[in-house]
Parts: sequence; C-alpha cells; structure tokens
Amino acid sequence: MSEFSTFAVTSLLAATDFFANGWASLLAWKDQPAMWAVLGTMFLISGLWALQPGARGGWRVLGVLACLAGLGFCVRLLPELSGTIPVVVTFRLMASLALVSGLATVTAKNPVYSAMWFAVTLMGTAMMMLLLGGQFVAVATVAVYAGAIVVTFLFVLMLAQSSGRDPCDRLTWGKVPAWWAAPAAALLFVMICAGLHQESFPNRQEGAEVVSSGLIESGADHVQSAAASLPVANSVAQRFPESHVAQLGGQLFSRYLIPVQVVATLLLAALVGAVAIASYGTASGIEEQLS
Amino acid sequence: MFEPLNLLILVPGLPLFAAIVTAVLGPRLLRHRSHWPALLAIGGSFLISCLLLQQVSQRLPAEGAVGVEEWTTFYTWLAVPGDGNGNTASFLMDVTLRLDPLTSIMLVMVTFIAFLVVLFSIGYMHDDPGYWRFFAYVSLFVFSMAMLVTASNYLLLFVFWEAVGVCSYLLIGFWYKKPSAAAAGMKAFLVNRVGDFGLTLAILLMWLNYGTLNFHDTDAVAGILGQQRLTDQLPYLGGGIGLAICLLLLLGACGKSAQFPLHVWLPDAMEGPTPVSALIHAATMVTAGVYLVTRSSPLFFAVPSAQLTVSLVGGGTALMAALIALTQNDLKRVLAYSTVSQLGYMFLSLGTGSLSGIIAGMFHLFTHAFFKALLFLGSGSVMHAMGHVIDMRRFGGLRHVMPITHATFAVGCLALSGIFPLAGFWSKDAILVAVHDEGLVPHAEMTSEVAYRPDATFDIAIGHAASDTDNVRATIFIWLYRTALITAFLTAFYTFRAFFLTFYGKMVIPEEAGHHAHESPPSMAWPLLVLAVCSVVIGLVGANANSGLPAFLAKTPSLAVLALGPDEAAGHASSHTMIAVTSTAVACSGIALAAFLYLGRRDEVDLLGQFLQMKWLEQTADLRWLDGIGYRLGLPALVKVAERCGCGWITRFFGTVITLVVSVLLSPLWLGYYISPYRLSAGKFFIDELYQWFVVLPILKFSEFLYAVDRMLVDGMVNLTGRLPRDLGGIVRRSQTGVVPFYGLSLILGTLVIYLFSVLFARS
Amino acid sequence: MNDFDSLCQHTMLVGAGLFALGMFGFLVRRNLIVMFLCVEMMLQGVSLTWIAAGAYHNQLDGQVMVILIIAVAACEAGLGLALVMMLYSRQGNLDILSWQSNREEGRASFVDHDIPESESTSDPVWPTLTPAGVAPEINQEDQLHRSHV
Repeated sequence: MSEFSTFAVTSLLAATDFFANGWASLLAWKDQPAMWAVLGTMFLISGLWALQPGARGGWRVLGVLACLAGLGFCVRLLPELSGTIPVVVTFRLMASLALVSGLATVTAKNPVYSAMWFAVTLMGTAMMMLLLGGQFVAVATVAVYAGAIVVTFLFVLMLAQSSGRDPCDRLTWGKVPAWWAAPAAALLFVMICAGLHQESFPNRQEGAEVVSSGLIESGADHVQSAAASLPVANSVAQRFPESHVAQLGGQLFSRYLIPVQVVATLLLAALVGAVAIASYGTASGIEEQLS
Repeated sequence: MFEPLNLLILVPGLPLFAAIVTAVLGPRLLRHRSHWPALLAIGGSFLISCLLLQQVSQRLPAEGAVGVEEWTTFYTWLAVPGDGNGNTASFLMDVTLRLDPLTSIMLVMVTFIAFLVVLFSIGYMHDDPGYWRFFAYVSLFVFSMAMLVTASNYLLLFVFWEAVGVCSYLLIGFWYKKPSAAAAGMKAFLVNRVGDFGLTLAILLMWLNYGTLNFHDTDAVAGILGQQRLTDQLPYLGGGIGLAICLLLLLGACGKSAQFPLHVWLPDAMEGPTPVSALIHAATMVTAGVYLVTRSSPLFFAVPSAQLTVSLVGGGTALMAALIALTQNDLKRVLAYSTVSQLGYMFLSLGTGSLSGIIAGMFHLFTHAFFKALLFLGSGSVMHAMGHVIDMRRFGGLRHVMPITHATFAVGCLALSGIFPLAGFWSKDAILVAVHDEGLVPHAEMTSEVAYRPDATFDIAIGHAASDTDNVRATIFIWLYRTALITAFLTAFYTFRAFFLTFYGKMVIPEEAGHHAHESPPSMAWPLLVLAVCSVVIGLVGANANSGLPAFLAKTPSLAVLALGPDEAAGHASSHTMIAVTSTAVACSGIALAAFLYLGRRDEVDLLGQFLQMKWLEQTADLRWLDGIGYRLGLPALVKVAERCGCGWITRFFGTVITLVVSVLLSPLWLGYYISPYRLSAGKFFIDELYQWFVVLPILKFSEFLYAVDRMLVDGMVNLTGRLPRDLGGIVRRSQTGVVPFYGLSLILGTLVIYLFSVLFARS
Repeated sequence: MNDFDSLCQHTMLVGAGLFALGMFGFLVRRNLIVMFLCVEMMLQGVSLTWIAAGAYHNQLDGQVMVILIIAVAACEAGLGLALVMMLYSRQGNLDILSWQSNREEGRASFVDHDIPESESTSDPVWPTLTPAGVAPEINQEDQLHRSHV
C-alpha cells in the first residue's frame, strides 16, 4: 500500500469518526493530517456549493469564507512555507490573489467581469512563475494570455453578448452539478494536496540526478550548465544561473525542436481553421467572402 | 457422306434459335413481325422432320437387331467416374438424340401442327401486347417438345418433360394480369409436380436397378431399351420393383396427359390463348405421357398388372371426361374434356399390351392431333369473331357468319366422332379392336406370347397360366370395351351438341363481338382448311394394319420386339368388321340424339335436364309435407289439448323425435338430389372440391400451423437476440441527455474514479 | 526541506487550486465563453504546476512545457472562439443548453424551470442631451443591416 492510500484510509476513518461522534472527535484527531484533509474537503464542498450559480445571494460571503477556510486546512497538509520574508509575503499575496480572482472568475455573473478577473488571475500566476525563476514564461503568460487571449475573449463577448444580461449566466443546469460538481472539485483538490503532503512527496534527489544528466547531455556547448554540479540550492538565484533564459532557448531549439515545430504547424492550422469557421458561421459564408 | 442423323439436331435447334432471336429482338426490333423467326424455324424443322421420316422409313433393321434406331451423342453433360472398386457405378450422362420410327412420327406431327398453329396465331394474336412473347414461348415449346421425343435417355427426357411443362405454364398464364389465367397456370404446374414426382422416383428406381438411364446400348452398359435387353440377353424387372417403376411412370404420364386423378389442370388450362390450347393442350404436350408409356412399353410388358392399371385408368378417364363434357357450356372446356377423354382412349389402348393395341394408341395420338387441333383452332376462330366470348349459351347460329369455320369444324366433329372414313374412325376402330381382342385372348397364347422374355419371375407368374387370373383380365377388358363404346356414343353426342349449339339455331351474337362478327382472315382460315383435309385423309395411312403407319411404327425397337410374338389379332378379322359397324352405328346414334335434342326447338333438353337434376327428390325430401299430414291428422288440436293438460312437453318431444327420424330416413333422397347425374356432370364429379377438401385444405392448415410456429418460436428467438442488447442498452441510453456539461461531469467523475483507484492501489 | 522546495510545493498547491476551480466552473457555468475561460484557468493551473515541478527538480523542461501549453491554448482559444461565434450566430445566445439536439431519442430536453427575474426589467434609460450641430444622416440600408442596438 502506498503512503497515499494509507493517508486516504486514515482520512476515511477520520471522516467516519467525525460524522459519528461530532466535533469532539476532532480533538483526538487534531495531530493527524488526515483530519485536516477531511475538514478541508468539507469546507471546500460547502463553500463551492454556496458559490455556484443560482445559489442564494446571501450565501456568497459565507461561501468565500468557507472556501478560504478549506484552503487553509489544506495548506496545513503541506510543510511550512519557509524563506526570506519578502519572498514569503509576495508568494502569499500572489497566491491569494490568484485563487480569489479565480474564484471570482468562476462565480461572476457578468462574463465580462469573469474575463477581467481571469486577467487578474494571470497576473498572480505570472508573479508566482517569476518567483520560481520562470522569467520568460511569466512575461509570455502576461503577454500572450492577458494581452492577447483575454482580449480576444472580450472581443467575442462584445460581439456576442453586448447586453451583458443572460439568464444562463445566473443559472446552473438543474440539481446535478449541485450534488456532483462541488464534491468532485473539492475531492480532486484535496487529493492533490494529500499528494503534496510531506511524507508522500517523492524524493527530489534521485529525480534531480537523473534529469540533470539529461540537461548536460542535451545542452548546447556554449551554455555550460552549472545546474548539475551545484549542491541543492536554497533560492532562485542559486538554483538557476543568470543565463538560464538563454538555456531555455537552447532547449527549445535543440531538444524540443520537433515539438516546437509541431506546435507551430498547429498554430497555423488553427489560424486557418478559425478563419474558416468564423466566416462559415456568419451569414454570408466563406465562398462569398472569397469571391 | 450425307448423314441424315446430322440434321437431327436442327429439328430442335432451329426453334431454339428462333426463340432466342425472338426474345432478344422481339420487343424492340421485330414487334409485329415477331412471328417470322418462329414460322421459318418451325417450317424448316418440319421439312427436316419429313426428310428424316423418309430416311428412317427406307432403313432396314441392322443384323441381329430388332427395329430401326440411330443415335448420336452431341455433348457429355455429366461424367462422374465410379470409385473403381465397384462400390459406386460411374455416372455418365450424355446428350444423346435418337432417331427411330416413333420419334420421327412424333417430330413430323409436332412440327406440322406447330407450324399451322403459328400460322393461325399470326391472325389470332395480332394486336396483342405480348405478340413477340407468344412466339418466343411457342418456339421454345417446339424446341422442348422436339428434344423430349428425340431424347435417348430418361434423364434428358425428364429435363425436357419439365421444359414443356414450363412452356405450358408460361403460355397458360400468358395473360398473366388476368387472375384466373395466373391461377390456372399455377394449378397446371402444381398438379404436374405430383406426376413429375412419380417420374423422378421412377427414374431413380431405374438408375438403381438397371444402372443406366440410356435407351440405347453403349460400350459400357446395356441401355434400358437397348438391343441387348430387347433381344433377350438381359431381363426386365418384374415383381415389386418392376411394378413400382411402371406405376410411377404411369403417375408421371397421368400428370402430363391429364388422366384421372390428375386431369384437373387441363380444363383450367383453357385460360391460355386458344392456339396454345390447340398446340400444347390438345395435340402435342399432353400426348407426352402416351409417348412415355409407349416408349417404355417393354418395361410394362414385364408387369401385366401395371398394364391393366394403364387400361383401367385410361378407360375410366375416358368415360368420366366424356360424362363431364356433356354438360359443359364453355366451348373450349367441352373440347378440353374431350381431349382428356381421347387421351384416356389412348391409355386404354396402350394398356392392352398387344402390339396392335399400342400401335393403335399411337395411331390415335397421331390422328387426334390433327382433328383436335382443328377443333381448337375452329373454336379459336369462333372466339376471335365473338370478341373472346366462349360461352355457348351466348352465341349460336353462326353457320352463315363463319362458313369456313363451320365447314371445317363439322369435319373435325365428324372425325372426332369416328365417322367413316375420317381420321378418327380408323384410329378409334383400331383401339376398339385391340381392346375387344384382349377380352377374347385365349389363355394358352398368353404364355407363348411372353415366352421370348427370359424374365424368370414373369414366366413363373404367367407360366402356370392361372386361368382364373386371365379370365378376370379378359372380363375386365370386355367391360372396358363396352365402356369404350359408351364413350364413343357420348363423344359423338357432346361433340355435336357443341357443334349444333354454336353453329345452328337462332343466330345470337354477343355484344362483345361488336359489329364485326366476321369470318376469320386467311392466315387463320388456311390452317383450318389444311387441318380439315388432313382430318379427312390422314386416317388412311393407318387404314391397313399391315402397312403404312402401323407397320412403320412397328419398326420402333421397343415395339418391334412385340412382333416377335404370335399375331393373335389375325384370327378375328370377321369380328373386326362387326366392331367397325358397331362403333359407326354408336357414333351415328350419338349424332342423331344430339340433332334431335339441339336442332330446332330445344324443349326436350330442358325437360331432360330437369329430370336429370332430380328436382322431385328435393320436393320429396322437403319436410314441409309432414306439416300438412300432421294438420290433417288433427295434431294441432291434440297439441292444444295436451298443453291444456300440462303435458305439452310430451307432444313436443314426440314431434322432435318424429322429425329426426323422418330426416334420417329421407337423407338418401337429399344425397340423391345433390349428386344427381346432372349435378355430377356439371360439377365435374366434384373432383376439384374433393381435392380442395382433402388435399389443399389440410396442406393449407398445416402450413398455417408451421407459419405460426415459425413466426412465434423461430422469429421470437431471433427477435429476442436483437431485443436483448437493445433493452440492456436502453438502461444506459438514458444517460444521453444532450446536455453538454453533463458529458463533462461524467468525464471528470470517471477520471476521478480512475485517479482514486490508481493511487489507492499503486505500488509504492 | 529547504526554503525553495517548500515554495515549489506551495506553488503546486496554488496550481491544483486553479485547476479545481476551473473544473468546477466548467461544470456549473452555462455561458460558452465563461466555460472557455474556465478551461483556460485549468490550463493555467497545469502551467503553474509544471513550473514548480521544473524548479523543484532544477530543470528547464517545465518551462518549455509551459511555452508549448501557451501555444496550444492560443490555438484552442482561436478555434473555440470561432466556434462560439458560429454557434451564437445560429442560436442568438451563448447558452450551452440551447444545443441539446444530440440527446437520445425520446428523452425530454432540459428546460429551466426557475429562471430568475431579470435584475432590471425596464429598458435602459439613455441620457438625454440637447441636440448640437447637424443631425447625422442615417442611411436606412445601414439601419437594416445592423444587428441590434
């Protein structure tokens, strides 16, 4: 049995105890991470329940609070976030920003607001990528996602739903999602969190060795990777060298050349497809457009 | 060197070619000229047949052989080698055509009649939408019939036996949009199946017992009718197997030649065009059964009881059909029953087993073809003029309207009645003589007659000359002779009844005829005239039993063998004159009765009809006279008194009992009324009804039962295998909601479950 | 467990959170565009996890993957939005439930029974301004071809 399954079974036992004996049982389980998982799940479920479209407006605040509480319980499963204060504070700020604006994206009644909130989520995500050394990626996310994709979404929204009021935005589809969607989402989240739990997290050292050797082999000659020889670093600066964006470029055009080509072709195909579909969808049709 | 045998293939070949040409080119190219291929081909066949006849008549029997025969193999149809150990015989089936007197006579007769009928049809069938189809079918029929009579093999004979049946079916149902025609075609086909079943079994039995189906000898094996067997080197089967073979052959012949009990299809077959009735259902195809029995006569010699059966069937059918023909109102139907009756005559003659009898049967077949074709074509001419009305009650007195038809029809009637010196007289006289002589056969001669046959069983059966058996046989033939005389009388009567009804009396023309009730065009009149002349003179070819046609036929191998025996007929020449006189007198009296009844006013006919309907029986059987008697006896008063006294039930009880008893006592009267002679005749002896009740209905009910089983049980199981997946799928099918997010939810839940299981049961 | 590793792990938690939220939104929302946004959010969560995992293992492959993901997401957004436009032009709204014809024969379609009252039922009130300048000429043909105001 894996550690994860041990954890899951313990969680089930804790949940059973909780439902059988009430809050008092929490004391017995309080040092067990499984209990945090159980509580997190339940809070998240009730929070998402309260936030789904068509729920009563008065519950929204409670729902947000319950979600945050569930998130808090789940965070308890992970090891303590340590590091320098600026990093920790920035991370917490950005994480909260991303999650709360993500929640707002999902629950906003006006799709335009959803798109706006999604842009905010992207900002938070980009900041977190930056903290982890993904400088190019962070910039690309902001530029491509927030700058292009979200704007396209807004264009479409303007074209398609200029009135901004549609009953379907304030409704979900019957009782089925109420019973299944929130539990599924909460359970998935908690399961991933349990996977991140300290004891079940995979050993980094073994993995690092393997992947480092691969990096050296495939790296370009002039970008001599220092990563392999480095001891386990404690900060971004230590972990990634100054030139790691250049290394990223080298990787993209050497080891990942074929995927890049494939994706480029895909982009071209999507471009043509989008033009065709959009022209076909409008009243006149593509033949008329061409002639 | 010119070899006439090489021309033999042309006799069936030309009509086949014409049939193909007509079928291919008819609908588009030939159209109203579609008769030309058939006419030319059949004419050519006739000329070649005459040539062949002449060639055959000049030949003499080969050294050590009986009869004249030639055969030639054109094609090896089937060749299945045996296993070499003698466990299975090799099966070799050649398409072999033969030429002997019997075949050449049949060929000449068939092609001649067919030629005239095609000529007649040009006028008769013109403007018919199926013009080309008609001539294609007729050509195909002539091909099949020629192959049937030239085949030198029972299996090949059977193939073309079926082929003429198919042509008959196609031509009966020629106007297939007419329901009665389609039904008649179906009936002919189905009834013939019964006969063909017998023929099939006979062929199988012959294969099993003789090891071959060839008529002729080959290097490997002696044929059934080959020289080796005929010249007493190999025995014919007697006993049970021989009897079975003969009776099954007879069954097949009965089916094709419309003998009791399989005669029911022929009267219905008159739904076809009249030239077809003349060609197929009077002159040629229906004689195939007679041909078959004649051809197989050596097989029948070995089994005297089978011969007797042939005679009994023939005599019975002749009488029965003649009785039925008395009351038919449909001109063609009278002629159809007449055909059945005359075919019965032929069978009667074939069953005598003497050479003269068999030759008389074949002779009658030959002459009958001419005058019966003449009569049918004449009736076709009448029909043509009357707008396809054939009911004799609806026309009459046509002799001035249609003089040629009238005259030729009269010749045909006289010939059919057997008036000296027309064709029918000679052949019918020959038959009567043969049957009469069979009744006088001295029994010692029987044994000597069969002595040339070394069949052990046969010799033992006949050799001790059980005089009782032979006396019984002679008695039967005496009675058959009387039956034949009665039939001759009836034949003359009904023939002239039809004749007088049609051509004499007050002139009546149905409205269907319109204003153009006229004599037929020359293309129809000429065949009538030719056939009339033939009907007069053709009998002369057989007038003398020792020369002409009889002598020629006697050179057929399977008949020539009979001549080896003593000629028992020679001694009774004086009685033969008596028979001729008797039969002519009988025929004349039949004509006289018909003239008495149907010429002039027809009051006596109605009286006779009423008498024969036995109306008085119905009046007697009607129980209302009981009421009158009871009233006179004062029974109502008695009943009233009884009811007053409170014992009305006693009177009612006795009333019921008396009614029941009287009803039972009178039931024979009712029966007599319902099967009064007139009703029996008009109702065709209720044979169709009997078939309906005892054959058709049980089969129908059984098929319905099987259909129900099939529908419920078999279909049920099949449907169940289809339903099971569908209904099981119906449980899951409800999940197809059409709501897209629901599909997404299902996807995600499924992924979640898989994820859960994969991590729970993962190996760490 | 050093500081950077814990940062990686917490980033992964945020990634999981975004993924779960996106999934939730995809299931409960009915607006086609919002559903698309939710899918994009799930992709964002995955991207974040890739970055964190790469950093945790001291690797650049995660970042490469994210670049590929961005490209695929761009394709998907382009095609998807084109489809949304087409569907909108057919049906006149963005409700995913107006496309239910793919259901099993005999099944009733899903119908909303509790459509909430619109928050403002009255027509929007435009500001009234004093006319200034020349009144624009309104081409009637253009008016005909305008979709709606």
